[in-house]
Amino acid sequence: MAIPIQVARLAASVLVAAACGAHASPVRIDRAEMAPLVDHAATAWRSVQLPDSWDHADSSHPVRVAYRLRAYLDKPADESHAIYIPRAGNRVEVRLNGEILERFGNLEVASADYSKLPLLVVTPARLLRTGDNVIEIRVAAERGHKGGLSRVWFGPEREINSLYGKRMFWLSTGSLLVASACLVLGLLALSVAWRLGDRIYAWFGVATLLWSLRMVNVMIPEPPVPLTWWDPLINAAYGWYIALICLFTLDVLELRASLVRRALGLFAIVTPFVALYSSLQGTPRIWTAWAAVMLLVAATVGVQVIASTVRRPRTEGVLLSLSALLGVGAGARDYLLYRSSAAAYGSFSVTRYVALAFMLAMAWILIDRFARAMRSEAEANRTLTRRVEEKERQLAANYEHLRRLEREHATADERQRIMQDMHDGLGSQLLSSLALVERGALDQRGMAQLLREAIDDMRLAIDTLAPGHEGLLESLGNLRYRLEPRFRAAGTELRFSLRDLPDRIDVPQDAALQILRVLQEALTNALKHARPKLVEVDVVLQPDPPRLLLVVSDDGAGFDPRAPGRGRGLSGMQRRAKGIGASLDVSSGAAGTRVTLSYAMPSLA
Amino acid sequence: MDQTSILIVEDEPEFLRSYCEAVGREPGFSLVGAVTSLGAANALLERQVPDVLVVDLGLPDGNGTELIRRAVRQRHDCDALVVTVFGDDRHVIDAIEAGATGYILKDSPASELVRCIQELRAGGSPISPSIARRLLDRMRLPDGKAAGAAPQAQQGPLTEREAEILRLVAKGLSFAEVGAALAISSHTVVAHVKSIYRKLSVHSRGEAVFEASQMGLL
Repeated sequence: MAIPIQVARLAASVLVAAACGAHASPVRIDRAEMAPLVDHAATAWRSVQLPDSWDHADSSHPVRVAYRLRAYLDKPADESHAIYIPRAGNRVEVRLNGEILERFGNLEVASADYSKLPLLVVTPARLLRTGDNVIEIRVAAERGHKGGLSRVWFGPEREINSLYGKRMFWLSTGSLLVASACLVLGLLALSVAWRLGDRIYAWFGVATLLWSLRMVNVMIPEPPVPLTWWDPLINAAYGWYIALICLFTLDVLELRASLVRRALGLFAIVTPFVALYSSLQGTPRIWTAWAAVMLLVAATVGVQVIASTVRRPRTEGVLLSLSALLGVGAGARDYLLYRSSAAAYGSFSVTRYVALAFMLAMAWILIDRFARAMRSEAEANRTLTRRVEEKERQLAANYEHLRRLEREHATADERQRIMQDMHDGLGSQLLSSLALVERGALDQRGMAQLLREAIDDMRLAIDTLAPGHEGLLESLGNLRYRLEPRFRAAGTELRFSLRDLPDRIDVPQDAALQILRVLQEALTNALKHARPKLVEVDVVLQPDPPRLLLVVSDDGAGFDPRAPGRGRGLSGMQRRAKGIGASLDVSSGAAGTRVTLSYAMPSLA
Repeated sequence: MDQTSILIVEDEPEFLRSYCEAVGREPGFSLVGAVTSLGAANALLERQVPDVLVVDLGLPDGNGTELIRRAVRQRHDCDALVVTVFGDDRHVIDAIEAGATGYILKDSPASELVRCIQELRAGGSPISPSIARRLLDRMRLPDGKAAGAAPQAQQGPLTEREAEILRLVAKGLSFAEVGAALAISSHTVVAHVKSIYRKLSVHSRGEAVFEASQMGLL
């Protein structure tokens, strides 16, 4: 392989070029004799002008050729010289005065193409003669694969090295640098495309990787597949690159251009077939014609981009317009140079560097969009925070409003209940008392009795409804505490049985009030009418379903529950019990009276 | 045993008369005054603080609690018995904080007043379930532990025994039942209640002093 040697020579040449003066300048050889090689022998020599580009010659041009060049030395060479061939291919064998100096590929095997990079052959001083030296360059190439021989330089090695180094730099090192940049940015763009799901970056990423392949191709004189298949691949990559970069440009600038897009798609599909057909047929003119189409496509998109930028100037548009101008310009220049003129064989293409312009544009777009995204995200965050705060304030206000409504509602409910209670309890009691007094039907004792009942009822309401009173047992205890002195004064024992009860029994307040009213009525009735020795109150909590049993029993004189007179008090108790869904049972006989209230506890769950 | 001196402060004449009669009938009691206003009561307290002060909270020229506070300050073992119309918790607790050791409802029979005075002199105090629970809430120790050997046991929070008594009373048990549950006499129960009242009074006075010193009044 010749590449490592060439690269090493390049490095050396840069050093040498600076040191040496121009004492014996290299000569450029423009003319040669050429003969087709038949069985490794050249016989029919004729004179040709260099460069000799086979693709520009007619199809009768032989594909195995020997060139004979003459280099004249007026004195014996005291230093080593070199032959510099800017371009020759596809495979080359160099001889000096009949001795083989160097082979670039095997002339007989059609798998290598050394025409991509310049060739340098060192000629040892001992092989050089004073006077004419014969340089024979044998070239083998496939039809339509850029066969030919450029002009040839001969001279002292140091000077030649400098020439060779310059071309190597632009062709090899430059391509390598572009390829590396393409690889890095292409992979970056692809990963951005993958993460963001944005096809803009995918277009660019794939295009750039294709371009990278095209650049690396320069360094691959012996590709893994035959040239007839390899070259169309590289050519198709060129076409795809153009199509993808065009799509990328259109998308960045948000141009619909649906017709152009369809044309690009078609172009991308057709390109590899054209390249392959051209290669297999060995007729470069087909590919040359297609290259004109490529140029046209690129120019069309270029015009759209520039028009759009003129309509709506922005940095992205300007960068892409400049890139498109450069690209189309360079493409046109190379096209005109290579495709139309045989003299351009061995001259230098500039299109490869156009990718750099697009890469710069892309880098700027990436950075710009990233910065924008960061800014808008920060802005969005601020907006979000502001909105959340606002919503929180609104929610708090709503909540406060609801709570106020709830409070008002609860207060209204409470008032309603107290009103109702005053109406049913104290109010009706006072009214019926008033009626009795006005009728003159009451003695002092009876009146005291009525008033005491009214006061009892009021106390019960206070005990039960007062804020902070917790549970039925506490209210029950208060009632007991309040009534006890009265029982003591009457000489009656009041016994409560509260065993096996929890510390608290919770029932709704209005239910508690009615339960206590029934209890108070039963207790005062017993005290008033039965004159018992003992009154017992039993409170029992039954589980499943929870039920509160309240039993008041006395050992006093019984009565007939159906008889008139006692009816008013009993019906009042029945009414209250019914109001809270409880049942009331009154039984009375010679052994005393027993009042049982059974209340279904509301489920707390 | 000495006569129990009693001062009655009640602005409604009917009640005043009824109380005076009841007290007058009791051989061990001696009525040292029966007045209808705070001013008159204060004038009497100048001369002598009685064993028992029976006072209505709602007096025309002020609140009865001031009178209680003054009497107890002048004489620590003075029993103040509050007469209240509603028997509602706030008024009763205010009175206890001022130093009252007993309270009865205004519509109680006159015999009940006599019994209550006798109980007070015997070292006991009455308590209703609501008041018991309020005091329990108010004076409960942070983690329900006893004050133990705290140096200020006299004005510190409740002992375990006291808290248990309040809890049982709040549940609706009578003093006799509480006593039975704790294996003590009912007399001991009411004596505990009186001691709880004293604690609350001293405690709230301590708080008042503390607050006053905080405010720079002392």
